Amino acid sequence: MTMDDSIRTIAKALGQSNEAFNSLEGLSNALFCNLDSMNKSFSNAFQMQRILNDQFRAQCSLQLHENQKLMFVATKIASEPQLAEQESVVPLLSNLAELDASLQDGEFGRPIPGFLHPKIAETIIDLQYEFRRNTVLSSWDDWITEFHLLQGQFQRLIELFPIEHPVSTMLVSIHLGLDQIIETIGEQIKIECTIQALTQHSSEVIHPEHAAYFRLHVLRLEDKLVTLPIRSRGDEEE
Amino acid sequence: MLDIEDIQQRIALAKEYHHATLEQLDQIESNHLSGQVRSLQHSITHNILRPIERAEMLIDIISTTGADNIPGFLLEEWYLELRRIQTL
Repeated sequence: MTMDDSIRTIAKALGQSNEAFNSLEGLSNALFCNLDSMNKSFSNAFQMQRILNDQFRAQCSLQLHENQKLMFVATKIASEPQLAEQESVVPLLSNLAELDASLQDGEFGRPIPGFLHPKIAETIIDLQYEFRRNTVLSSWDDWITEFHLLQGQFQRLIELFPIEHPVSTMLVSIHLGLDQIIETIGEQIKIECTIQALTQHSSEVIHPEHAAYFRLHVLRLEDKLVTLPIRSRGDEEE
Repeated sequence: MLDIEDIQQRIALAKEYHHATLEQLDQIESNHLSGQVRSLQHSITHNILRPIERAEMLIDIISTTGADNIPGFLLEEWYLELRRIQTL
């Protein structure tokens, strides 16, 4: 393989990495919208999850920035191969050489900021198309389904990144954070379900002492009910 | 975890026993004791039979709604109440 071929392969791989990082950023934005809505309903109970997601977004931006720098060098040299002979370009070429080595390493090769192995990048891009967001979330069941889908996405991403990659632990943390959100939504579903059962029961009991007892439970549960979040739009970000 | 079936059996036996006691108390014909009898009947009805009835209702709600569909904190309270019922 000539140097020109290698540069073209690198440029193509960088293009796929770019698409994959954009896809990750999109996933993070989708999570941001949901977290924002949940925080409004639950008095900022999920700030930690929001911070973790912000870190993930920042990491995606950093990776995209590095990717664009590498892409610029690779496409420039691919279009003007004579530049490679200039001494001032040699340090830039060494960055590409390191990237080429990572490419040869395989899927879990040495980590290069701004670069993902094409197989990993393709899987991430495919994941994006598998995830269809529910536009209308009109019940807690819809919300729990939405968060389960998001958690599934993060679970699959965790499997794609070696632990050494800076994104890896963030993905694990976000996944764990989503567990808490899913549990909280589950509790709301249980409250709704129990209120319904108690209301039905209290209307059936004959003795007023029992009816009062069940009404008291209904009042306690109603106090714990939270307003269903309205999904905010990404452009409303603070 | 509670053995609901066991509690239901015990509740049935307890109800039978306490209703029988109430009937026996009804049969006491004594002017001297009428005040004490009424007090005892009231005590059995309110302190034993009502909680037992409530326990039956709780068991009914738990079994129709499903323990998994009831918030944890409430289920804990109800289980505690059912445990207390076992001592009556």
